[in-house]
Amino acid sequence: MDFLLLLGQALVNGLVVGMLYLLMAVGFTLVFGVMRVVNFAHAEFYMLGAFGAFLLVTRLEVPFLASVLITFALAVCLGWLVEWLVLKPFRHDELNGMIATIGLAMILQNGALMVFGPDPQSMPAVVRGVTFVGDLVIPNSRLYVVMFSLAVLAALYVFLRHSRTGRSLRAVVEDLEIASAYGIRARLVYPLGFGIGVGLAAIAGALMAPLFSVSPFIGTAPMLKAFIVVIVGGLGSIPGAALAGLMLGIAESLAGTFLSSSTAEILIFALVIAMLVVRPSGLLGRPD
Amino acid sequence: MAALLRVENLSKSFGGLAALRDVSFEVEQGAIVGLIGPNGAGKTTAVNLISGTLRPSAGTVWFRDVDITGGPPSRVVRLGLARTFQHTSIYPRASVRENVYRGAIARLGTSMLDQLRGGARTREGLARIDAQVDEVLEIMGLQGQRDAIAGALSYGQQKRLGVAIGLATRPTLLLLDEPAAGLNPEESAEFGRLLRGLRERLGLTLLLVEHHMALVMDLCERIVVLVQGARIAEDTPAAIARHPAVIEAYLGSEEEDHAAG
Amino acid sequence: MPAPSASLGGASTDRRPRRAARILWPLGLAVAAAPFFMASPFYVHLAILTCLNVVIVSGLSLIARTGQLSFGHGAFVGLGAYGAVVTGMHLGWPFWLAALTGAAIACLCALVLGWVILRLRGVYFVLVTFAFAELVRLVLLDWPGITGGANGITGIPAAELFGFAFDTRHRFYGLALFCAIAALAFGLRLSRVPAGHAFDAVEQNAALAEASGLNVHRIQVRAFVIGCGIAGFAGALLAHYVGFVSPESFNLSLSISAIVMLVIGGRHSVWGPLIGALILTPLPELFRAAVNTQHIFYGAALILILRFLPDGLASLPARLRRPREGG
Repeated sequence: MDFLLLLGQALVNGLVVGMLYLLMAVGFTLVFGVMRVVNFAHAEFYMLGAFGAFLLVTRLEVPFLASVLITFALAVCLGWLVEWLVLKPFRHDELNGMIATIGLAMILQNGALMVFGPDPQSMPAVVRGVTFVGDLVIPNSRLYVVMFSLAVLAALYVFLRHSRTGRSLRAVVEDLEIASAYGIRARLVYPLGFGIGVGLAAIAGALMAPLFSVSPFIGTAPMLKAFIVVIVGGLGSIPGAALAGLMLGIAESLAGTFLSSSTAEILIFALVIAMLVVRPSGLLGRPD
Repeated sequence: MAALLRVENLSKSFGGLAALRDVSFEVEQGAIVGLIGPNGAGKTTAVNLISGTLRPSAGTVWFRDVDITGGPPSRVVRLGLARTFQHTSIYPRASVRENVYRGAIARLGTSMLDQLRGGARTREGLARIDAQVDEVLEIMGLQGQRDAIAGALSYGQQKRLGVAIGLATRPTLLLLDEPAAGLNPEESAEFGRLLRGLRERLGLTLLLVEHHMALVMDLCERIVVLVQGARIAEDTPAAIARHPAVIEAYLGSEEEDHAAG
Repeated sequence: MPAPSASLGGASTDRRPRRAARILWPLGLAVAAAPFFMASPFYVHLAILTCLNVVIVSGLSLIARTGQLSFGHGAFVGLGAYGAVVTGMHLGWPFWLAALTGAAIACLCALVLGWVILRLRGVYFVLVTFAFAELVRLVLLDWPGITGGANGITGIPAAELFGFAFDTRHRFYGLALFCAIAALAFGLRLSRVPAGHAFDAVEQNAALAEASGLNVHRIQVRAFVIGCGIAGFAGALLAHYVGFVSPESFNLSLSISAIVMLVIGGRHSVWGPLIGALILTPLPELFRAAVNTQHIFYGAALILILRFLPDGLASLPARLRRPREGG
């Protein structure tokens, strides 16, 4: 009985973490799918999202949900601008684009350091209390995160499936040549893809802000995980990123509960490398 | 000796699509053979299979009685079978001479250590290679451009450079992938003369994979015809020109071209 | 008499005008010799770090010369460092042997990893080296018996060769300078011999190189192993200078700064590592007060260089001499 409870609790925790990874990874893979760029600055947008929510809630007293949405909108705009001003020359230049995003990350992180300072700041909890599902305990704040993430994913799904712009994005991810042949405008698709991709990272940051502290350095750890998720799920595959994100969250939680957490991490990394070698295109990616 | 190049029952499928089906033919030493077919016939696949870039789904490729199926391409080249690329492949940022030089250095055969030390074997090998590079440049008519940057050459010159790089490996058989692509009839004829000269001067065997008929008809002694991955004919150019199935295949594809226009 | 082909000198090292060379060599000598006469330990420290960075980035440059970019270079510096320290302190081996062992460990890991992953396309190779670096860091953290875990290993003795201890900054600078010069000389010599031309061929057009009889995979593995070995050796040196190693000393930020130095200095030039290290090592220390602004400048410089001078600062002389050919 105890074991089942432990297992269940681990699964639930894993789900929450998994949603976080999922949001980061889906955004990251979207950027890669559209622009063929490994965005090393993705972590910084997560961090900016967290700061966005933090500032809106604590300084301007905007309700949390609204803050998250506003932060998303701001991040999309920022992403659009950045893509257009900085990354345009590197579209489809995978290697140089990647290095350029390193430069971008340096600029964003140090900019944040200058403005906010290095010390972690905490945000007051948005929701208190816990919910009981049978014998399992779920803090409401985390429940909140899961629900909101699901809502975001649902919205993303609808957008990609049923709106014209969304379908254009998907078409470009599928096959750029065919998409261009259908006249899909690159001028729109690239900045939009980048904007939405980093917007998702910003949402993840905003959602997590009340749960963890907020500082210019918080992006690195989730980004590392997002890399793994995207590798395992397949670079450029959104369903792959979603699936792998959840899997990683749950696997980590289970391994951390039943093994030592450091062994768990090593195992996971070793598995990831093995996966990359055996099937570089990941679980659901296209071999190319 | 058996034929220089023997292709036996070569097949290749991509997913569910069969690009080549049970293709067999031979190329004798010193011959000039053409491999033709309309678009989609599987010619490029055949080139990639023979040169070792791709592994076949079935079948074997023999070169000088050695099984070269599956490559790796560098090994196939070292055995004496060189290929050129359809979309001419050169090193655009290097000089013409450097381009050809890079084709030759695989044959040097000395270790990195010996090279770094400036050992005698390396020096001798390099002297030989220098002479050979000059010879190739002269044969291909590129001596005058030896110091030019390859990327700045005209299309026709780049094509010749592509062949020169292949020649630098000192092959026994040269496999040319659509050498006439992008050349007008006059350039094509001149290229043909150049290729014939290669056989005379270097004793090369040539296998031309082509889509356009003119060069092949003029140059080749024997022609193998592929249509939709299968060999439908193999004969002298004159016979091929009259072959009903060949005419059908080409006329049919011409009609498609016109319709798609 | 050198073979005529020796002067073919790869696509990157075009003939320099004699005039510039006559100024640069004595200048270089003066700059290199200056730290011996400096009293301030701070500047000598900077000079030492610059030399070590030259070695590290030279290793990375070798890997880049075959067309692959390693995002885990820092991990190999760490492998060399830990390898040298562990064999030196736990097994009591002399410095030169320990350092070579460290480099050998780095080479071995590079061989195993590289053989398997160098078949991967550029982006995937980047991700695997990235993941590998993280894996190394985690393993170092998790093996306290040998590696000291998160606390690392302290009290590393100074480097020593045949009784001569490099225990002062000036002495160690001599050692570091020697190694930096050796690394650059190696790169220079390599670019002039056929093996170096083969590297360039693989980088510029791997398919054509393969079709010319060059085994691309073996060439890339070879470059990877040598490059990581050089990094490992630098790690051994670093450990015996700083006197302390920990898993965090060799984390992602080291890999990234190596890349930044390489890209800004010049990926395709033998002098790239020197230029990159010279410019980017002293600056953080000199402008300590404005650390953040400075990193913003680096980020911006990186982007600008990639956009307008993708072959790095080393290509500036050539670019200025030649009119731009269609971008």
